[in-house]
Amino acid sequence: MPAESATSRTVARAASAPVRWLGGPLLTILIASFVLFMALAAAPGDPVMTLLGGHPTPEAVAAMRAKLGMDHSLIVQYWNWLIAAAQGHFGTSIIYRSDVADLLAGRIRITFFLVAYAAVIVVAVGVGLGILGGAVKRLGSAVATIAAVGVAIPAFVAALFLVQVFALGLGWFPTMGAGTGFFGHLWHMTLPAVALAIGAAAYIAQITRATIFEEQSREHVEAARGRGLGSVDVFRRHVLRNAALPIITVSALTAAGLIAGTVVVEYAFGIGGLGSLLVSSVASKDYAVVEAITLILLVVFVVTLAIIDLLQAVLDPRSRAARKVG
Amino acid sequence: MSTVRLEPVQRSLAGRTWSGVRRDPLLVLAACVCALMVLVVLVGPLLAPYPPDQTDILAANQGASSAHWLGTDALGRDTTSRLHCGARPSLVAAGLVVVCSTALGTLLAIVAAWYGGWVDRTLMRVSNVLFAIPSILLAMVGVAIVGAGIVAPVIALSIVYSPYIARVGRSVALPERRKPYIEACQLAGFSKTRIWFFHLLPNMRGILVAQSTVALGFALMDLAAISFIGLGVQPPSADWGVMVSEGRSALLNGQPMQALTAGTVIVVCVVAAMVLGERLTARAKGAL
Amino acid sequence: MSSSHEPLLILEHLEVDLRVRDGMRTVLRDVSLTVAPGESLGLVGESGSGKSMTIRTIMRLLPEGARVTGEVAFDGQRPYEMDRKELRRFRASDVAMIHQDPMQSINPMRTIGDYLTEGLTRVLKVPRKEAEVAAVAQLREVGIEDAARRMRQYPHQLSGGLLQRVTIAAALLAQPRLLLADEPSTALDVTTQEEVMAILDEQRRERDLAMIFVSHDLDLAAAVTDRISVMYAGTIVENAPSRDLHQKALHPYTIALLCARPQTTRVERLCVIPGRPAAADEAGLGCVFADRCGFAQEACRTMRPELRPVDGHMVACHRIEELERLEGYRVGMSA
Repeated sequence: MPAESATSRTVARAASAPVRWLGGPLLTILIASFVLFMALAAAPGDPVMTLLGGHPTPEAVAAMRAKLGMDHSLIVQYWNWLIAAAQGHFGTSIIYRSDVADLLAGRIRITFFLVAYAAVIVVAVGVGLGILGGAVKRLGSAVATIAAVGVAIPAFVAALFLVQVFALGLGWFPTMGAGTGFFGHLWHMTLPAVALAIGAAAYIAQITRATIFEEQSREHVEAARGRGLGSVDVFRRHVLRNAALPIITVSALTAAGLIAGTVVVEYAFGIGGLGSLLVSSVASKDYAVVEAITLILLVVFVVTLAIIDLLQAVLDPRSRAARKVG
Repeated sequence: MSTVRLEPVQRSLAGRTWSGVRRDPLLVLAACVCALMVLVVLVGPLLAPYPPDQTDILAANQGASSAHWLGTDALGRDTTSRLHCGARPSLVAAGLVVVCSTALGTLLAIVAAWYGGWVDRTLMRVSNVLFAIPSILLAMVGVAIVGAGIVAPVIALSIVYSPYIARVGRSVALPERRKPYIEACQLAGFSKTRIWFFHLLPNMRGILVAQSTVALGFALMDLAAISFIGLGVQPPSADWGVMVSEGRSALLNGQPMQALTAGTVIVVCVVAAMVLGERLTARAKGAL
Repeated sequence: MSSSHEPLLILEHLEVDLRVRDGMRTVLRDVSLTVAPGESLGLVGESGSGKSMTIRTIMRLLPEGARVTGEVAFDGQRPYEMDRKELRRFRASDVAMIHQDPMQSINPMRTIGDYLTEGLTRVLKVPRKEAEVAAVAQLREVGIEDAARRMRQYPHQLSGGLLQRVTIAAALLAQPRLLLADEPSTALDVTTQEEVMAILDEQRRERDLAMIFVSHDLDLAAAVTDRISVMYAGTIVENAPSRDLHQKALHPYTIALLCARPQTTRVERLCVIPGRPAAADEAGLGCVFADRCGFAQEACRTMRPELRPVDGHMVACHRIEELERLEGYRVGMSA
């Protein structure tokens, strides 16, 4: 999605009062899940017929409808679904003929691992490069160029290049699968995590560098130099410290955005996570699964955004409830 | 003998955006690549050495050769030709996304800036909700409803991208809206739509074009990804994302040509669009 | 005011060029001035005359690629020959700058206490407790009661006037010998201006500090300084004792400046200097004011006038002796 300056996005996620803070995300989840449910309900194809097969009798159809809870109005169906989902009951998969919740259990862990791994890379490499590019004048344009190219590399292209060079070429990593156990995961998911992280890390590098530039040109930085502080001190206490909040905010937002990227990466590497399941469910029109996974991803995303909002309110001295005295 | 320097003549926003373009080599390079992209979309299929769906099983999965400069895929189709022809579905769909999202986003921006108050607040709330939705997820939901193809992804992406355009447009439209000349137009009795499109819009043009170009890059990336996972353009169409997906098994078996060339082409086009867009944005902002 | 033996600060034929996109741009053309210990010098001129640039040059706070020619000497030391460590000590304890807008010159993310003690603890290696005690005492001296609480507050919690007092306190904390005040009251509203200026003046006299007071307001400068240097287009055009300047301005530009102030007592037409203020790089070979001067002659446009002593002032004008004798040369100045 198109990039913007760090400060403008930070402002867009301005801190809200506690009630509004909770209300916003809840409302978003409600609205989005409602739209999702209604949209999928409007899709062609009748799950009842699919499950029964052949030429069922009207009684069988009615019985099945009642069993699936489809004899209520759409609104009620939506509500029932939402409540059930909140309790961890996601219905039944038409394709796999099993409880959706069971399908999801193991996969959630794998996707979470992948996203966390990628997030670490994004922050470490992105922020690191960005600070380097901002602090060291000569490296500035090199970093900017690398970042500009990195942002343009889609995860699936990166995935294939990485496989070609590091898996097939150098043989350091396996070409697919998620592995077992912690270290198995680490080894199998290094290339996928890097592929997932590249675009985001490049973006973070750009934002970090831009933020550092912006902070460096502020008057209070020159004033600090004028008071005799050394360049390291000035950088650490006045540039970095002030740049920290927008950088942290954008990093967290970007890390949250990685969640959507797992879809493509899991597919490319044959990893059995939520993403690849979503792809196959969409292709096979297994609506219950699609609804479930989308809802989960949506909730995680929205909750993360809310936490970021909170973080911002807490860390910025200017937004703490302080009236002007004096 | 010293002279007082004259102030430069105030040129229009559009004029200031486009002048001095030649002095920026990066922008020129990116613009050239983008022009090349347009060219390939228009005449690519005519320049292809082979028909893109001509199969030749005997020549399947070959590397670079004099007959096939970039090799062949699993069905013996010529990669070079498929790349030429693949430009169309990839770039035209991306272009559609950009046009739709820019139109929608601009309209939202103008309406929000014009009416202000609760209209503005509501529209901003809505766009905040839209910001929270990842583009690929919405596209996938769309595909779940209407089936695989480019229709659902294009519509979904157009919806998801419009808030970004709307925000940029609004930040330019808001200060313009308050300027005296707009009030003069209102007093002169011009209709709202006339003011919007003949007075407000021209001043937003520069930055909107710039941001749309950046959006083109993202649209290209997202659409290619959706085709890659099999939910967008369907085989046997020669779409770049599809080519990467099809080339995957060949790559795993030692023949990376197809997948990597298609991937590289995607990256080059995306970089060109983004760099061009960012340079134009810098100019438009500087001119503001 | 202490008597001056050796000048504390000497600037001689200072020229400063800044690096711009396609070359160098002159911002200071020819600046010569001296400040004696304990003396207060006003630096007056319009926007773009180079006054802020001059004091930044003294502290070596110029952007990268700037070129400085001429002499800068502070109490026998040469800031432009110092190494990094010496320069930091020079900035921390010999000179102190008071910026124009305290909202911009104090880090909004750190506390007032941090701002005050930073220089002491990190450069002069004063232990933190000691620095804090000194800071609190200093805050009280500039008229902030409740100093201990203020130390823990953030800049946005204080008003502009209070904040400017804080910057004055910070400047005084390190016990400098020269204060560089860059239009310290311009960003404040009128009533606060008076308060802040009063405090600055009081503190300066009490400690017998030298000061360069930059301003575009001639009257304000005259009220708090011993001498005034008038700047135009990066050059000093006149240098005179503050009391004298009102009655007896000599350089055509100074006269025009005085004449152009709106009068509150008499209703009369403002006299206007034709043209607009020139920047240092726009002036040609001759006198920087030649283009706009009503008395300019051929010699004025080709030869740069040097500052020479005339009638107790230092004036850079070729024709000053003639002009002085002209009838009505000083018409329009306030009594």
